[in-house]
Amino acid sequence: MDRLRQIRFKLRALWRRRALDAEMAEEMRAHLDRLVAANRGEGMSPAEARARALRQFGSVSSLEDQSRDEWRFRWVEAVAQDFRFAARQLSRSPGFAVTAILSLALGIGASTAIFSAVDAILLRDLPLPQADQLGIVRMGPRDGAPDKGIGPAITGIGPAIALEMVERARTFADVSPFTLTEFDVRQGAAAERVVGMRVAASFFRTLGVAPPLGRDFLSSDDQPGSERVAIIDSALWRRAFGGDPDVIGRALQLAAERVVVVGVMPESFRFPELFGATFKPQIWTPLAFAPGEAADRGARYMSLLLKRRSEWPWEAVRRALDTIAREYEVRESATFGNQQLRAVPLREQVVAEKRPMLLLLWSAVSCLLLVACANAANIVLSRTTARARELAVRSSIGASRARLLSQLIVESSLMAVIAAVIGIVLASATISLGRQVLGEFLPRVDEIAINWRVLAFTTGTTWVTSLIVGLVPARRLSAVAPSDALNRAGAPTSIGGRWTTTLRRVLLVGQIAVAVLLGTVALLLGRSLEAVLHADLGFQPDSLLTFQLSIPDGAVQRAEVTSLYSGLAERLKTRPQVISVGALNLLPLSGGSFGWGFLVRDKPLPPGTSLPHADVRIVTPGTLESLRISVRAGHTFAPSDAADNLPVAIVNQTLARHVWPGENPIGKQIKLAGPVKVLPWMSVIGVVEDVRFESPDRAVAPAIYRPQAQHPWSSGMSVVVRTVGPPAEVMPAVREEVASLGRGIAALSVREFDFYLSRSVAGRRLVTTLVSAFASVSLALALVGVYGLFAYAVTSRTREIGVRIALGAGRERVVWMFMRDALVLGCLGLAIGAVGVFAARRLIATQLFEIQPMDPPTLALVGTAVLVTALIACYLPSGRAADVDPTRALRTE
Amino acid sequence: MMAKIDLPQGTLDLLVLRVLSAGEMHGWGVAQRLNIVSREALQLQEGTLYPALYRMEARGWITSEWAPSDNNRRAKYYRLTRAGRKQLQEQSASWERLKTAITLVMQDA
Repeated sequence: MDRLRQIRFKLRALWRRRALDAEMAEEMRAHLDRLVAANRGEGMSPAEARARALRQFGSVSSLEDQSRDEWRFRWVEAVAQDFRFAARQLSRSPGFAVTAILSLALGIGASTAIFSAVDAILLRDLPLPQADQLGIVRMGPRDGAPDKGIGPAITGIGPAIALEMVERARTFADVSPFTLTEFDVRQGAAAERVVGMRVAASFFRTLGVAPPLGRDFLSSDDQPGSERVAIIDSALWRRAFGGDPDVIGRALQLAAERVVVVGVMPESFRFPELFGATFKPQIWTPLAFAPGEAADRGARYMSLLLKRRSEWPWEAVRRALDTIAREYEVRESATFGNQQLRAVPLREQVVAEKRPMLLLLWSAVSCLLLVACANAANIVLSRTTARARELAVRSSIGASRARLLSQLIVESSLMAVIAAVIGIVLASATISLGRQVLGEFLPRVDEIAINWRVLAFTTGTTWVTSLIVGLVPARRLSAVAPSDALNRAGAPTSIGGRWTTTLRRVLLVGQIAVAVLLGTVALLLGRSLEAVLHADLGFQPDSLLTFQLSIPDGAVQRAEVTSLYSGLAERLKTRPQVISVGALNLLPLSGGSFGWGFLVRDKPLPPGTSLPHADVRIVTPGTLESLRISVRAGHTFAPSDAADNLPVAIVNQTLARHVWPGENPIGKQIKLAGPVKVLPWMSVIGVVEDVRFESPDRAVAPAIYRPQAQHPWSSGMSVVVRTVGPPAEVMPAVREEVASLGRGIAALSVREFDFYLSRSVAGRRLVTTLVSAFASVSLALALVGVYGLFAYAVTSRTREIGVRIALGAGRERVVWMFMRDALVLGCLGLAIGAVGVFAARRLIATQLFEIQPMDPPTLALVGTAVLVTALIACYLPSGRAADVDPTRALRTE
Repeated sequence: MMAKIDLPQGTLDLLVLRVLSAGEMHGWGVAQRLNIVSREALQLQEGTLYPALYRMEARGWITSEWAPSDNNRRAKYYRLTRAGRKQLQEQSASWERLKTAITLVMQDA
């Protein structure tokens, strides 16, 4: 009761402290004055009366102080005082403070940013209701099926089968077919290629979202011949309609058709990046299959969005799908033999590919955080020991142990708080930068934000570390008799004790180990990046200009497409900077893929296996020349490979090796799966070099090249222009020539090919840069640690060194004494670091290219570098030991 | 005059409460009253009254108010609260018990 009232009184007193102080002073002064007056009344002199009054009253300042306790929170003020003192302490030794705080801030900032990113990307549910029940179904090889190295592992499903699945899979889930596509959104003469999807009417319902503006698709929208409608996302809504709220019912002109906008998705909606980070669809239209399309079983371009029942785990869903797949296998062995329907949870589909990279970054930054903690701990340790004298003095003049401990706690905390503030700034700057630049190669970048729990964790870790490490020696310290501490002022080691020194050496070995580990990983990544950049792509990416043609529907007859491209090529080639021009359906390294099942004449499929799969590239004459893809056998396409002539194909070396091992592929016949009328048997006329189409660091898939003239391909292709000099100089010429084609044909994404090349290695570059930065920081911190430890050792052993030198030890021997110690610590760290690399070899290997994690030259190089720099860091202070003057050293005490 | 004695620990509060139970009074008045009633037998540094007064005020036993005083200056007048009155009763009772106990021991031991 009383305590409560007291606290209430103190809280109220907070606001009127000055007034209370003044009133107290007034009251006491009045009392004193009356005492003086009374004494005067007894006949004393003024001075005498005043002196007596003061004796009668007692010490005013001590009474005031006692009184003030009634309206202040004593411990709060003690802590505040500690804080002021700590701030003075830190600013008195700025070198110490800056090193400790910066390394902590760096550790906190970097790890908060990366932990937040990892949490947002890998751990959080996708921002969809019941996201954990959503998955995607595609086809892939059955586990354990022999991998002949032919075809990509995973493909879509034929439209007919996808539609059947909606019926069949209804028993266990919601299923909604969709396929990816691109739309050329046109506004006047300008066109923009936008990633989009064709989806079943139930798609958004399965996804669990609906457009807040307008309506969802109706099943009537999905009928062939019904009005073409679209749902768009908010970004496209703003670009194409200026964010007009009356957009519903307005038409959007796409190259191939005109669609009516029926819905706009909310600002917050981001479709999961199911097929890589560049896959960010902005427009959705209903499937509305034409009858012929709906009956197609072989063209595997459909995927299924699946929502499992909450009581069915994914394993049950997979079993159910497997049952269906086996039924199909009996009837359609060419499609379903050794293939299965694979259900992958949506989040897995989005993040799986980037998981190893993120885990590697996560591990690296954890190492950095550890090093920062060790560094701070080391600094705090050395400070506590060096301040032995100050602490001893304070304890001898009456500071309680609790007071000394609280002082040390406050100092560590102040450091942690300042570091956390800088760390937050660092982390939020990193995150906002990351959100701007990472979107092209990391999924879910929009969802990354500073995670306050993560921040609390990283800050807490550093704080607790420095606390524990600072307090343990402090406890021993306050047990030391003050006289002892004061007497041995010259040799504070005796107070810190062996324990502290041992701890510092252990921390140092740890720091060196982490520096070795991170350094090795950084060097391995750097060499991989170098290897990727210099990898033989199979084509020459420099001096290439690329663009796409957007052709309005009906503007160009199918038969005219060939002459359209050849005409454009001829006119561009008249420009002096242009060497050659070609066009193909898909640019290398652009992130897309286009594959097809194929058959080989006279090589029937083994029963129970499905068709092999190959990338299909539709090219115009001049394309292989422009990309500088070299022909290894036979010859390249000629303009004579026209629609009416003998169907021909060129294959890459991988396909030739797998299909006709040891045989000459020239003259052999293959065909793409499908009706012979559309997709006839083709004679192989040439074999070209393997091209790393998908990514510079990924294995090459089998590929079939077809001449555009023989392939029913009318949509816009990508044009490649080989130039002399900078490709950018050809841009105006390209725009001019495309404009002169008329008929609403527009050039899209006019870019130097370098754009795609650097985008394809951007993720690798980022990881390499980050890990290298972490490695540099941890190495620098380790060196600071080495320097600090030996500087301290030399200072505290000056007397011993003096004795040694006086007794005739050579100066080199004295220096060697320290260097040998550093060498032992360095080698220990090196060994532990190497063990670390070995332990993490699997994770590291996921990010390497043409190099092994346990690469002896790399390890040797990093080890030597770390050891040499550590020895230098040790020599700098140890060298001073040799300069010790024995006579003076002996007098230091 | 008798030899002055030190006030036992914790009894100052009781004395001040007792003095104030007679009516509201300022610090000087309390000091004078203590001196007079104890016939100046108590060794009291008058300043120590103030921390005691503030402490009791913080605990809500007394309240204070500024008012003009007899010598044309303003003074802070202290008054017992209900809680203070209760406190006085409890403390006097326990003082009585202590006194009796000590007297008994001194007589018979």
